[in-house]
Amino acid sequence: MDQAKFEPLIRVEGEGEIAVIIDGENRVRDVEYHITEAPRFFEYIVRNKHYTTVPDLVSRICGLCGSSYTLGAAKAFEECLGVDVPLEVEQYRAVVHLAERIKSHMIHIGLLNLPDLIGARTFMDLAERNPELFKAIIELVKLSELLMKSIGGRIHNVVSIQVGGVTKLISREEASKLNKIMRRTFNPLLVKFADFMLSLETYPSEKQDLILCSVYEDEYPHMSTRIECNDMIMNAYDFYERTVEVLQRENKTALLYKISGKPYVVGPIARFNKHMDKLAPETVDLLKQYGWYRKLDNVFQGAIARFAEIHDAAVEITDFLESYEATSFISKAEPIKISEIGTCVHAIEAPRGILYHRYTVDQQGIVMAANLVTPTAQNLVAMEEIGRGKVLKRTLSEDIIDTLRRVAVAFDPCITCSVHSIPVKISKV
Amino acid sequence: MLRVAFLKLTSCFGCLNQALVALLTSEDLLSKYEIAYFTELGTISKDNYDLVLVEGSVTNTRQERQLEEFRARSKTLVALGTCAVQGGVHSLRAGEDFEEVKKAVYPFPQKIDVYSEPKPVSEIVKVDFFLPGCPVKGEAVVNMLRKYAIGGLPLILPESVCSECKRKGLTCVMVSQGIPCLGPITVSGCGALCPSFQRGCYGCYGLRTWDLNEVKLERFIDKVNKLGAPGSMIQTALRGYGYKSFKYVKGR
Repeated sequence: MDQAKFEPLIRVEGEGEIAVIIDGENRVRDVEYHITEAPRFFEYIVRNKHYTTVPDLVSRICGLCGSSYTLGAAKAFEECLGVDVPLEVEQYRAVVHLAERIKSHMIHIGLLNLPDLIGARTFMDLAERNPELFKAIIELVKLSELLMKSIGGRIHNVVSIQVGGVTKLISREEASKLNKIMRRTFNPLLVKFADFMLSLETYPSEKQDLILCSVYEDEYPHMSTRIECNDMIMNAYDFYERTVEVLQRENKTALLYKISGKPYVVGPIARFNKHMDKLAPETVDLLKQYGWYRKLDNVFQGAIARFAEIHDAAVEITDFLESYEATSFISKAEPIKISEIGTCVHAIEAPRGILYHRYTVDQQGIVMAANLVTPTAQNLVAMEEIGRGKVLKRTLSEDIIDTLRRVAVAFDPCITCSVHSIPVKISKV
Repeated sequence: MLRVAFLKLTSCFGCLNQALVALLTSEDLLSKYEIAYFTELGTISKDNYDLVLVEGSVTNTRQERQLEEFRARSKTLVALGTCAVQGGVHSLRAGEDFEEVKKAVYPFPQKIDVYSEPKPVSEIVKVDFFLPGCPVKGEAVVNMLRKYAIGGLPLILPESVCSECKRKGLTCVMVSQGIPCLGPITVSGCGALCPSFQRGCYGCYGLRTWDLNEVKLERFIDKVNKLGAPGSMIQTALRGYGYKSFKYVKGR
């Protein structure tokens, strides 16, 4: 008789479960990654709201990457309502986004992924075994929070970003203080951390053939209205509203995303493998020193991409602070005349991958409908296929469960923001 | 060592992350607390706890059972963040046609084990301490953990965001610049964050409940409306972040 075994997913953000279906001989017949997070219906609750309130509202979707939501929404409205944001303000907001990337990646690498890479059971075990590494990780997390607090107000649900710009800019004195901290503390600590991360020999080396997607722009991917998937480039609306297939599993309620019937991967590995030549020269040099300036073979090496992005962001933020001139521009969120019903679209690279926003607004600036596609929801099919490929037909053991858990952790699924995924009632087959 | 558990219900993980980072970055606390349950870190000890910090509101029967179970195994339970304290921003769906709500998000709405209206933690179990915030402030969590470690819980000053502006010496953004600000009706604790960033408070810590009534609230809403506050700003504060307190004000 068939049996099902369910394990809570630990070391991922949010709540999920892995379902392993085994046959009479205890061989794995199927694997499903379930998201048991309760839905919060954000696409409904932004309806009938004025566009000025939406960036703060959608920030609440995710406690780890809220500013990607805030900024993505603000940019979507600015583009369709014709609001110009001066370049220097745009760069200022990008710094908030980069600081969040550092914070989110540091938490993932340090607290969730490293234990797997060094064979520790949990982060607390790691702390006992390597107190110096623990201290470095904590210090880096702390500094990334300081950055976010200074520029965004707080580490989640930043308050400085609004449609039209920012509400307040830091002073030159504050910028020079932060610059000193970056140069004297953050960057040297990061180089020390690099020596540990990039010399680890425990990254699996198997080759995985993945369809990689990221936003497309001239720089290392941050935000855009275009998407690049393998070699195909198209606008975000066409990609998400027309090309991507949204599927619903039989008898299940989670939504799955595919292209031409195939899973695709978004996130650090997609950005890194396609655009590593656009990383900061200092980052490229560091990667070369350790032999990591090359395409990553599989999702388990994602930590390398995350580290590279932390370093690249730190370089960019330090440069920004170095040459910072506080401008006098402050967004006043002036009422904007809207001539017709608009479709407001933007795609932003959240730490875990492309986050797609689409809002339809009426002439009064009220949101009529919304569509949000989150990174974790997009990676779910690929996560399952890789997990399945590794364990199918093998006899159930602790090792199998561990492998499946590692696959999930490698993807850094932030289940909390997968608003399209519904809890699945589990029953034994 | 005090055993502390972190329990997540329907929420965004923001408050628990704040709490976790606050704990990990405070050396004095690390020697006093043992993280006994935190799925994100991979520690899932199921014995008894001294303290459980609960993030999020309750939206299905599974969570209700889980919450009761954690309450039974813990000496002290803290509701962490606006969702746990007052229901949170996803309460904005409450009172709407729930089939419509589901249809707006899912192309094939099926049986979903979820309540149409989120419940604050205190509707299910006894809460020993409420710590509002969206997200909760890291410093506030550290203070609470320090106080708890010496055998107590912090004192709460019932006041609005306005008193924090006064203490910080900030010029009132509403009086001086005509920016609509919900500070007067919002619970303090953020350190007057939005006014210090040159914008009006939008009520994410939830509403003051101890001295507001419907008349005062209506009068205040009239005032911010005249300043051009979009209806959805007020709606989000009253029917979202501070949903349950609004019901209290309404006398329901």
